Amino acid sequence: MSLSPVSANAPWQPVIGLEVHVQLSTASKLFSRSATAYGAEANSQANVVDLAFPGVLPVPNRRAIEMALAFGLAINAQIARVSQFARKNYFYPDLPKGYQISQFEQPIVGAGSLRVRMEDATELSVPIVRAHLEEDAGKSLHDAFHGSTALDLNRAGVPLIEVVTAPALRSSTEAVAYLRTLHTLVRFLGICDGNMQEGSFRCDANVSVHKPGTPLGTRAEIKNVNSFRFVEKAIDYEIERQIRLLEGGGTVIQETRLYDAARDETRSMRSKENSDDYRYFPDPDLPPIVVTDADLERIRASLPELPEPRRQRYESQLGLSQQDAAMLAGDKAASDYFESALKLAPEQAKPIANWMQGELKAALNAQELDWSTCRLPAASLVALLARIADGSLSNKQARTAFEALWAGDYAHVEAAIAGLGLQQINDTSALSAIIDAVIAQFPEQVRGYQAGNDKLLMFLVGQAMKASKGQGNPQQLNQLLQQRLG
Amino acid sequence: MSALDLPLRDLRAALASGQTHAESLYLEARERAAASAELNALLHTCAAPDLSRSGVLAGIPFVHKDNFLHAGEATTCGSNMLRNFVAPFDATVSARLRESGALCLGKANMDEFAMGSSNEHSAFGPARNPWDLTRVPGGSSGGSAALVAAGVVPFATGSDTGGSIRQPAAFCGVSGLKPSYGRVSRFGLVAYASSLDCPGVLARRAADIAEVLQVVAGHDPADATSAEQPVPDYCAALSSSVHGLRIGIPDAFFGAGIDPQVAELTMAALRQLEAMGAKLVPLAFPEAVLAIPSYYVIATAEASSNLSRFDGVRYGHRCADPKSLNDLYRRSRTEGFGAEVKRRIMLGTFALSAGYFDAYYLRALKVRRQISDAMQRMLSSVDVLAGPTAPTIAFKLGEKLSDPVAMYAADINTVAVNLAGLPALSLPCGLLDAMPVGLQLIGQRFAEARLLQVAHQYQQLTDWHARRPPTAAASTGVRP
Amino acid sequence: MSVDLDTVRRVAELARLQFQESELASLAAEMNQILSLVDQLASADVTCVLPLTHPGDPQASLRLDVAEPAQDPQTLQQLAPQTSQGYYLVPRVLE
Repeated sequence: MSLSPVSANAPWQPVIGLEVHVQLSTASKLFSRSATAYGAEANSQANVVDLAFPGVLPVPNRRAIEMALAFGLAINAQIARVSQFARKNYFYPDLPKGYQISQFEQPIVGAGSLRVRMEDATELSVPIVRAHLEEDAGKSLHDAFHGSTALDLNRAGVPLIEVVTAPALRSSTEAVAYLRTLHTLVRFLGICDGNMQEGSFRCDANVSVHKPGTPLGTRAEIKNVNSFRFVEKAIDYEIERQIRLLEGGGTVIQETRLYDAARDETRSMRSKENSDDYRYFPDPDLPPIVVTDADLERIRASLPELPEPRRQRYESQLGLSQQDAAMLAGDKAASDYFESALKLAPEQAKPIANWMQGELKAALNAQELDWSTCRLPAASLVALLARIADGSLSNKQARTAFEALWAGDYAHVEAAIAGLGLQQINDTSALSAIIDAVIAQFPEQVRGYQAGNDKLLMFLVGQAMKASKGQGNPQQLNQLLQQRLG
Repeated sequence: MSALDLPLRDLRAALASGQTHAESLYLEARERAAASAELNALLHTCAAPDLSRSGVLAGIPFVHKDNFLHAGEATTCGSNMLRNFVAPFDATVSARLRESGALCLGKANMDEFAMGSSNEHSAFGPARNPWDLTRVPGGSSGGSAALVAAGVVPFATGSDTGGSIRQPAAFCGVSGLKPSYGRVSRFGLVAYASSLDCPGVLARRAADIAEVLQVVAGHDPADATSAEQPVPDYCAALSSSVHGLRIGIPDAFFGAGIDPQVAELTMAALRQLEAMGAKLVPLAFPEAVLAIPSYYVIATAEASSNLSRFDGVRYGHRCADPKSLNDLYRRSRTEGFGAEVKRRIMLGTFALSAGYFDAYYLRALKVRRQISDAMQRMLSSVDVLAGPTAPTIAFKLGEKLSDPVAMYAADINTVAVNLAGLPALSLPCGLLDAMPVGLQLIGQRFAEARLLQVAHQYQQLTDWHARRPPTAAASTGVRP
Repeated sequence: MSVDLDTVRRVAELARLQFQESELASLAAEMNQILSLVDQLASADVTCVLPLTHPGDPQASLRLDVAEPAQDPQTLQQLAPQTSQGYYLVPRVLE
């Protein structure tokens, strides 16, 4: 309780906590063997267990538990050696059993933290309170059939981990930075495909405001925002709304709100049972999950190198720029591509990164592809860079070859070089012959250069390049011309 | 004597040798079922089964309590909620029995969703005791016990959550085994209380139960609470002598609520075992006094959650013309469930609700541990525990309906066993006023073989298990 | 412990059960009867006693992550009170 008076002009401090539902990319559901693939025909991935027929029982998916443990290790969390599933009881048609199997008092992952790098390169350590396993609900369609709500229970039972932060974020910027970092992490771990359009990564934000030194304000929960941009806008709107409300003498109600992207505002939800008594109790159908040290070691050993250590390695060991390192380590597919190229040519880290940031990125963007569907195999990029390094291709020629390879005109670098006649001419006698021809062809410009007009050298080099059909090594031509003409 | 009345081992031999044929056996069972229609014990007759199936129980007819899903057949759980429900898959118990060649004759009447001790809480009318049609057969596996007692089938399945196999077995003069929790898969058994429910077997002889248990016991990957404990040969163990067996007699099982004549008949049975070489050991069991309250909180709490799936959406009863989602839920459930089920859902919901959870549910779970620990302690000093299964003989229809608490209190000797997850068996040990009395034996976890052995040895030297109710006598021609 | 009519109403709503006003009093009486039986639990000394939720204190047996083939929704929907084009239908919910 603060003793110093709070000035009416003291700034409002937003307080934000985030709950993210991460859909795990297992083949089957958390408690049944139904497939989890997105977009299947309605109710074709809902078996008797998912539909809560009388007599059915849940059996936990080992892989889902391992994924939760991998996540826990990646955020340096306390791992519960014994954790328990609990029933959260309420009635809703997308919840066939009339209860959701979740975790309450003994979640599998306890307190941990996630280091978030802000755009200005400062770091934030976001405390994560817990991450627990739970099953997803089905989907309700309210407008497909007149007067009815239609239920597709394909999603009912898909495994989720719910990752809960402490209310430790102070702005929408911090919130989005955290979400991006979390998103990258779960993709790096291979536990979630991160597809927000398909609902694989769903964010709920708890937002309140207070004046520093006073107790925390009442929070409102904004549910199910499915893009980072909308999260930012929703949080900003909600902070504004609460401040205006409080400054006008009103009070903030604890409630659930939805973000309306079309209107850029948050709205109170109507019928959801906010005050339901969930009557949590340990699920008697599911004995405790026991995790041994050996289990943890096995999972720890199987973890991929995580984004943050990877980024540091790219910067300090490979000498990449801060920007390149961050970009590559921030996208698993890009990083995988980079790593496979690097494996073939460890000394080419910078050129690989440059080409990825340059030509390849432009080509991907032009066709709306991503790194996992990159049309130039890493091995081909490496081959191309090797040709530049040994001088057999100029940068310009390499770009020409790249375009042809990307378009699919040739399967291999060698074929492209041969097919396009791109061999760079480095041989001194050949180049000398070209220079002789150019000197003979442009006597005026030769005299002009010898008289002191340096610019004419570029002209002569240009002509030599033209005469060589672009294959002459420009640096060598330049050098040889200078030598010949004094 | 018809082959249908033979011990299972002998019946199997008769089928194997061709002395009897599966077809005629099945037809005879059907005829006996029809002749016993007044028992109202059979809710549904199954479609003609595949008689050509081979297996250890090939050709042997049985009835299945109506809370086991049997694919393609009605499964009502004695409830209006599932009046028209046809099972789309087999319970594991059903599948294993099918595999063994056993033939499902029909689905047996029961208290609705297994909640009851008299089979009076069925939406399809009460079942009756073949020994006296004005009395209850017990519950909730009342139909199963009645049909075995009437000689319609050699064995029946049942489920036991607080005594629902043992008490009807005692009331109807048959043997009934509640296995250890997790010994038999619960997959496909409609759940009442998930941490207490045990599928089990009723038959006229312990030796017959052993044969059937052999088929249904064992780990099931579809049930996460099913035990990995290996399954022993239950029949091989039957013939050991009871000489040296230590039988513990907890004082609580002979408490004030027990009819003195029931107590006396039970003690006589125990003295019979003593004469066979067993040693009787009196024990104190003060924790037992809280078994009923603990059981009723835990069972109703779990049930209130398990029954939430009955909402009129994906199967089961739906009310006519629902005006809203909540109207759909409220009316479908209110119309579909009977009074006793609703009472227990209310109690269970209350026990779990905010503000009452610690005082009721959590506390009941702690008392459960105390009771379980006490029973483990007793069983470390003796081989089995014994006492009367039920406080009285079967009561009259309607006698206890107006007093649910009195009905609950009658489970006094059976519920502690479910709280601890132990195996227990009831076997007939006498007649009182021409009504059967049952002796309950309780073992350590996974000691089913021991219980069956003791019961079998007792049944070698006594004939209570061979007595037949007067009604059955008429259909089988065997004198009581 | 005894429950009043308001508590009974609240519990009934949580359980989605409907009782006539006339039934509520007798239901409350029955519940109170049972609760007085259950209140005996208060007499137990349960200090330092761990709750027993799973008899035999087992560990969960887990399942390998293998998906089964897709279902034909029709098979199970035969048992459903109201479906259309593969969806289960309920009265429209306002969100």
